[in-house]
Amino acid sequence: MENMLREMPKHSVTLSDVYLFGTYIIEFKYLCDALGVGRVMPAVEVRNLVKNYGSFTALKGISFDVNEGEVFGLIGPNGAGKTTTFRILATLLVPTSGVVKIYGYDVVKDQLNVRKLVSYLPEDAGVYKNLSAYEYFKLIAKVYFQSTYDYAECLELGVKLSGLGDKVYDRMKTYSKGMKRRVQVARALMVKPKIAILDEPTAGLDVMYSHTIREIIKEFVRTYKTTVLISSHNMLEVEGLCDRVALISEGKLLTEGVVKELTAYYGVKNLEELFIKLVGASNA
Amino acid sequence: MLNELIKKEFKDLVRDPRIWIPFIISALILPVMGLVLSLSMKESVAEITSPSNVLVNDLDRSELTSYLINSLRDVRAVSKVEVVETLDMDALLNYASNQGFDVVVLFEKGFNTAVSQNVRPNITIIDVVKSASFIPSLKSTIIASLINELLGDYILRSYGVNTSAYFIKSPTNIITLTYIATYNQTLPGGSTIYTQLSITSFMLPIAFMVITIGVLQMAATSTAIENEEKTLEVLLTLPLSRFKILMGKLLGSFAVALIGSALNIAGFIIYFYVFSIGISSAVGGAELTPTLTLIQPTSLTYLVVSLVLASFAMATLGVTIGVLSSDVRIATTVSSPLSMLVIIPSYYIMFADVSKLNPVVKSLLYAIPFTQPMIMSKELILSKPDQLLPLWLLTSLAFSIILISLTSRILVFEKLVRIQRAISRFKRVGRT
Repeated sequence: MENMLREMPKHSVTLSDVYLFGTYIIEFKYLCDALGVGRVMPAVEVRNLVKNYGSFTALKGISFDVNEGEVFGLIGPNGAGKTTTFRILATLLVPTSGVVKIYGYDVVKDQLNVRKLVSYLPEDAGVYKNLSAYEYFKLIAKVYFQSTYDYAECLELGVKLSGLGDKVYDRMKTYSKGMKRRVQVARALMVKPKIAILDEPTAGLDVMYSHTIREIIKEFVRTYKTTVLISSHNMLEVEGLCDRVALISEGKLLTEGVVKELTAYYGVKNLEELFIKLVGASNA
Repeated sequence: MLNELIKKEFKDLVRDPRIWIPFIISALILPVMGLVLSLSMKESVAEITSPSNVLVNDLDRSELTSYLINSLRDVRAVSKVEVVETLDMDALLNYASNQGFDVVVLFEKGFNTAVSQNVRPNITIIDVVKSASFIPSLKSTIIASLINELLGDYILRSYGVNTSAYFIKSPTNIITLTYIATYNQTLPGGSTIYTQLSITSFMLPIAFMVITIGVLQMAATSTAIENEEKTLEVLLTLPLSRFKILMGKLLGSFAVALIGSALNIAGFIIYFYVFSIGISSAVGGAELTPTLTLIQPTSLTYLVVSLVLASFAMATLGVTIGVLSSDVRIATTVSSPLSMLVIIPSYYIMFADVSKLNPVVKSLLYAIPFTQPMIMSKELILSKPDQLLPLWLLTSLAFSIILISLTSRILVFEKLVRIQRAISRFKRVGRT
C-alpha cells in the first residue's frame, strides 16, 4: 500500500481546478432546479387562481403557498373569496383559470387523490340529526380506512376529539350548536388528514366553545404536524393559531406573510389594525 | 362502503318521525275511512229499504182508487198511508214534508174512467227528499211498482183471469251468477260482484297514486335536508365516487319507502276488507268474495313488481329533486307540481275504460313507471296479463337507470350550485 502511494504522481490543486469545480457545482444546481430535485414542495400551491360565477368574478388571480405542517390563516371581509378558495382546494369547485396543487396533485385532474389528503370543514356544516356522533364517526372511519386497526384508531380519535363523553352515543338532534361544531371539527381531524381546511370553525360559538375548539386544533397540529388552512373573522384567534396569514379582499390578495413581520412592516399593533388598514384602503 | 352509506341513510330516515307520520297516519286512517264509509252506506241502504210513509192526494175519489189505497195499507213496504184531497200542490208538499212522509201519490180526476176505457191513466209520484244521500232514493220506484202491480191484479180479475200481475210480468225465477272468464271462475251474485270489482279497479289506482307520491316527497325532502344542513357538501369532499354517494342515498330512501309503502298497502287492504263487510251487511248479508283474492297470483306478482319499480323511480326522481334544491321549501315547491304528472294520468286511468284506450296512449301509460301500476291494476282485475308486461317492467327499470345516470352526472358541487342558483332565481322571479 505504501509503495502504491509512493508511485502515484504528485498533483497540486491549482486555481483553475477550483474554478472548474465551481462551474460544475453551479451547473449541477441549475440542473437540479430544472428537474425540481431538492426543492421543498409546498403542501398547497395556488397560482393565479381565478373563479367566475357567471359574470361575477369571485377570485381575481390570487397566488400563495402553504408549507407542510404550517397553520395558514386566510382572512378577509365577507364575500372576499375565502370560502370559494377553500371549496376549490377541497375539489368542490373548479377554478376558472389558474393552478391549484395539493402535494403536487392538481385539484381538477387528480380529484380523488386530493380528497384522500384533504379534510374539509364547511362553514355552518350541520349534522345528521337522527344519527349519534358515534355512528357518524364510524361512517367516516369506514370511508377512509380499510384495516380494522386503522379504523378503530380513527374512531377512537374521533370520540376523543369530540370530547362528548357518553353523549357521543346520543342522537345529534339533542346536541347544542357548540357540540355539533365539535363533532364536525372532530370529523374533519379524526382521519389525520395531510391538510385540514377549516372554514370559520368557531363561527357563532360562545367563548368557551370557541376556546375549546382552538385548543383542539392547536393540540392536533402539535401532535400530528398536519397542515391547516383556517379562516376566521376573529383576528385574535388567527394571531393565536396561525404561523402565516394571507389577507384577501374582493377576490384579490392584499398581503401575505408571518403575522409579526406584517404588523411590523405596515406599522400597526395587531392583525385587526392591519385588516382595517388594508381592507379599508382597498375599498376606498 | 356503499353498505355504510345505505345504513346511514336508512337510520337517519327511519328515526325521523316526520318521515313515519304520513305513512302511519294513512295506514291507520284508511281502515277508519273504510269503516265510516261502509257505516254511512249501511245507513243509506237501511233508509231506502225501510217501509215508506205514503201521502195520497185522491182527486178521483173512485172505487178503484179506494181499492188501491186500501191495498197499499196491507203491503209490508208501506208503513203508513194518509189520504187527502187538495188542489194546492205547495200546501200538499209542505204538509208531506212536515209530517214525515217519504212519498206523495197523486191520483188525478178521471183515473177510474181511463182504466175502464182501457186507457193508461196518469199517476204522479213525488219523492220527498230531506237530505242529500250517496245512494239515490228508491222509495218512489218501489211505490210505483206496487201500484202498477195492484192495478194489474185488479184489471186481470175484472177480466176473470185468476193469476197475479207479478207472475205475468216475471214468470221465471232467475238465479244470477257471475262468470269471470279471465279466471274461469263462477261466483254467486249478479251485479254485486261486478260492482265490487269495479270499485276495486277504481280504488287501486288511488292507492298506488298515494303510495308513489309519498315516496317522491319523502326522497325529495330527505335529500334537500342534506343540502340545507350542508352534510351533502361534506359527503362530496370524501374520497368516494359520486355514484356511490347517490346510490347510498337512493337505496337508503328506497328501503324506508318500501316499509312505508307496505304500511300503506296494509291500510288499503284493511280498508277494502272493512268496506266489503260493511256493504255485505248492508245488503242483507250477501256473500262477498274479498276482491283481491280474485286476482291471479301471476297478475298480483306483476302488480307488486310494477309498484316496487314505480317506487324506485319515484325515489330516484325525489333524490334528483332534493339534490337540486338548496332547501326543503324549494324541494316541496318543485315536487308538488311534479306530483300532478302522476295525479292527472291516474284520474284519467280511474275513469277510463282501459281496454278501449288508444294503443299509443296505453303504451305510454304502461311505459312510464309513475303510471304503470295504476293502469296495470285497473286492467289486471278483469283481464289476463298482457304478454308485453315483462317488457313494460323493463322499460320502467330502464327509466330509473337513465335517471340515476343523469343524476350522478350532476352530483358535482359546482353544477349543483349553478342549478340551485338558477332555481332560486326562477323562484324569485315567480314571486315578483
